[in-house]
Amino acid sequence: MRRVLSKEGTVIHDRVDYSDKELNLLKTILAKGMESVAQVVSDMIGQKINMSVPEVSLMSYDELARICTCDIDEPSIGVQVKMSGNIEGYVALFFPPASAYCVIDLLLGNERGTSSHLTDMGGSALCEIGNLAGAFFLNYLADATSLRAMPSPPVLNGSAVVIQELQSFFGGSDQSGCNKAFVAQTVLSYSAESVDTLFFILPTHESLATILGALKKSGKESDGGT
Amino acid sequence: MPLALIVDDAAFIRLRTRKLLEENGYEVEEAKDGEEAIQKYKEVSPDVVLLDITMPVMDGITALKGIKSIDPQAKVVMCTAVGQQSLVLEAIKAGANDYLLKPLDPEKVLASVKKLVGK
Amino acid sequence: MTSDKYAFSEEDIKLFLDETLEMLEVLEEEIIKLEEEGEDRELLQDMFRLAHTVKGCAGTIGHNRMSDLAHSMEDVFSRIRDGELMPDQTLVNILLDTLDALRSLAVEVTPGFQGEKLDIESYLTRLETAASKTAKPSETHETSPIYGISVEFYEDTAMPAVRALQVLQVLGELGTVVDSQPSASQISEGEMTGFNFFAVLEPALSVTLEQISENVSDVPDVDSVECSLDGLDEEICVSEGEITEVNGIEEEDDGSSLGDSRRILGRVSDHAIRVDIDAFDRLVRITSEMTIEQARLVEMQRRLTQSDAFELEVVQGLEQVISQMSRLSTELQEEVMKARMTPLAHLFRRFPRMVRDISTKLGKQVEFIVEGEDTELDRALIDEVADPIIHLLRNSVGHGIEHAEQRLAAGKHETGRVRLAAGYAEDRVIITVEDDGRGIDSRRVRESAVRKGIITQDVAAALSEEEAIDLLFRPGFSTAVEADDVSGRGVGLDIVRSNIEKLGGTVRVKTRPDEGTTFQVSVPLTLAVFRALLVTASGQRFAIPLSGVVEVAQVPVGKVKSIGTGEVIILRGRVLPIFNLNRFATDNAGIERNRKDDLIMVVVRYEDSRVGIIVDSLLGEQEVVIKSLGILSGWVTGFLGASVLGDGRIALILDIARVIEKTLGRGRLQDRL
Repeated sequence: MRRVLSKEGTVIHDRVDYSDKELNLLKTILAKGMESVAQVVSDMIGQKINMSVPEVSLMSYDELARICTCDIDEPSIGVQVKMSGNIEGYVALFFPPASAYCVIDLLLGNERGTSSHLTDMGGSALCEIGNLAGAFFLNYLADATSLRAMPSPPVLNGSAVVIQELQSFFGGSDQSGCNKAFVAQTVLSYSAESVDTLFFILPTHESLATILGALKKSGKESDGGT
Repeated sequence: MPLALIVDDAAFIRLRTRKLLEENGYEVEEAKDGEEAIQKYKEVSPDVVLLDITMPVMDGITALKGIKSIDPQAKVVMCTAVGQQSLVLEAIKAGANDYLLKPLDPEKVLASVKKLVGK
Repeated sequence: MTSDKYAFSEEDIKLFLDETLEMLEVLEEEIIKLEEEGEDRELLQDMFRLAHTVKGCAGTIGHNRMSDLAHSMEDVFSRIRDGELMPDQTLVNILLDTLDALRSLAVEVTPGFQGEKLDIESYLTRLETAASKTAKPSETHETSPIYGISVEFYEDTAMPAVRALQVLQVLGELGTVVDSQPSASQISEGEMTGFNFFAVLEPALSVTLEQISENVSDVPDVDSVECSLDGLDEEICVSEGEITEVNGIEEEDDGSSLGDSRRILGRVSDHAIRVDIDAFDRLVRITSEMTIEQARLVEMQRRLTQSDAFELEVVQGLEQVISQMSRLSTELQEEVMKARMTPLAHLFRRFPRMVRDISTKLGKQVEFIVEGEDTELDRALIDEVADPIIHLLRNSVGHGIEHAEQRLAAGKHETGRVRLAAGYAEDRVIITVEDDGRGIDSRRVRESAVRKGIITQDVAAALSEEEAIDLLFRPGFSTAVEADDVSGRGVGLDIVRSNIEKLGGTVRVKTRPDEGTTFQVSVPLTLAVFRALLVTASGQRFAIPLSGVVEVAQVPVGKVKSIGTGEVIILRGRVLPIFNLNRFATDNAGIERNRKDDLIMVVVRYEDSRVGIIVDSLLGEQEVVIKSLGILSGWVTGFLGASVLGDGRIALILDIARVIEKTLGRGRLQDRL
């Protein structure tokens, strides 16, 4: 996964809608939101979790699709949580199959290697991670900006299906008409295991504007770069 | 042996909580939504209910009101994710006894349940 | 009690009559008010004091029956005040009868009184019977204990508001939660930033502190519970009458008396005004227009800061906005002033009964005519002119109008006529009190003034008719107590004039012997002058508008409790957030907890909120003229304006609404990013 990221996940600044300052601000808040999610996942599975420095970038859906589905033998397992309210968009987690089984075993308290395919119970466990990720991210955002949004119930799917859904959502609702998504991504790795999870936050462009507005209003602009 | 009713739409949560409670001397029944919870409550009259707030078919607050109308003395602990304070406040007003935050901390779950059942 | 001796001079007795009758007059109004408006602590306190003073006066001249009856009445007032008695209609009737009896008793001391002496036994019995019948059940406020409950939650409590709600529920089962911080509604809305909770509980019968502590500790996440017999700070409350006893107070020598302070503080309770719905709509419209203009201003400012070059367009835009803003603020000011206008009918409707009572008592036939009662006057002014008008009416009925036989002898109709009229004259309101009585003899006024040493014989002779009559308003003239009508006429007129002049008004008198007297009071429509409590903090002087002052209290520092980021004091079962006035002068907003002397706290109110303002000292109350802060007004929030005091120093006038807003401010704490 990390290999994939380094090859494909290049940061693209080909839109000038955001100033460097604004981009920094967004990066900071999304990264902090991601940290709170990493913390809760760590609490949940009872394992220390390392989080790579989050990358915030604009990427096309093709690129997004490649990152999540290509270059690996099996398609990843995706969990998507739709955000609705003051902030719209998706929180999505992609687990390469081996990682998924490992996480499931950890969560269910099974011996490692027990799971070799996705059971209903395993799926439910992964969904719960998505559930908490959405809730904690939005809670963090609410504390920082007063913006309120609710996570919808998590949906488990193959990564290709998830990507398709994301694309149709953005294509349909993003008024900027841009076919690129603002993506915050990080890799969660579990120290004891060689397990990676790709964690994305994809707010709509409108929501990003809302977040920026709220941050400026609350006077957080100045320390956004810290 | 005290009887706990676990209500959550996530099978995984039910499984984890069941394991925890059974290991600590409780009998456990499960329901996967509010409607089932009310039905189960009528059938088995549990000593304590762990009730998720966000569920399909019937949400936890509605279920809480239903359970309280069957048994005003029902002991109910709401289970919720962060960011749902207003719903928890509503639940407490509707007669919930306690709340637990997800991810559930085994110690807190046991302490809360024990307190309510012990009385 | 059987034989009352009045071994006093006629002068003393006259003084006694004047004083007691006046007090009984006020008392009567207050009894009616009590019936109309229900129990009011301040009102009852005042009634209690009046009855007490009447008792004292009667005792001084040895009028034991009067003193006894006043004593019984005083008892009843104190019992109503303490919540042991309900002032229902029966009780009010008995009180009014008792009042009439006290009047009759007072008149008995008149030299040469021939009438039958009043037997007070029946009155005493009625008071006692009524008192036993209307005894309240034990749900009285003042007698039950009040507990202060301070709860701390663990700092990692995820949703402290939910726990606070649970504590509230637990407390609700143990009694009545009188107040809390955060308040129940804040908690209900999830507005709780800290992990402290404080409540004042009026416990149900037989609920103990231990029980409360135990039940509250049972709520999850409760770290500590502290229960105390708190909120019983009655003794530290300084009632208005004792205001001079507060440390550091000096009476400002501006003629304002303690009586004023009592009256003003006493009527703080009815400071609500009715606003015409159309007027309100206009206010809303103006406000929203102003908001739009304000937004434009902000936009201009932004553009100005962004552009390096001088932009004509921006300057023109600014000019436009400024002219719009000034138009709107003038309009707003006018509307607000209009909203304060109240018809004089509110005041005038009290008078027919008063005039009838006085005339009946004096055995005179008087026709009382009221005109122009729909004339409107600033609410604050209406309160101020009330006393002077009462004074003038009493003078007219008491001294102007002759008895029927005298009138007939003078060729007049046997029924005298007193006319009270109000009307506009440009930007002023003229209130006229006119009688067709005997008029004032300027010759006798001159003689009297010379006799009293107010003027010399030569000066008196040189005065015009008008100037001579004007002597009535001279201080000193009014205290001249003589058995003749002329001097009686002067009682209190100097006070009437000085009170009206304080409002920027004038009093004139026209009189013709045997034809009658006309007093003309002229006051401005609105009041740019108002009464304020002068205080100091960090060496600065501040003026707190008296209309918003509820009381002044002395509080031991130990009573201050920290709640979240603020501080509160419990005063009579109410949690009072406090605002340290030193905060305006220094950066240090907290209360120095090591100080030995008590804090002086001025409790102010705006709408439903109360806040205690901590000051260094009280200087007394004074009329202040409000001056705009002009260009500074945008920079300094929390002040209505400034006032230049008599010594040339400046006092900032507190904007109570803003201070309260500041103190209760519920800004979100966003310290995570």
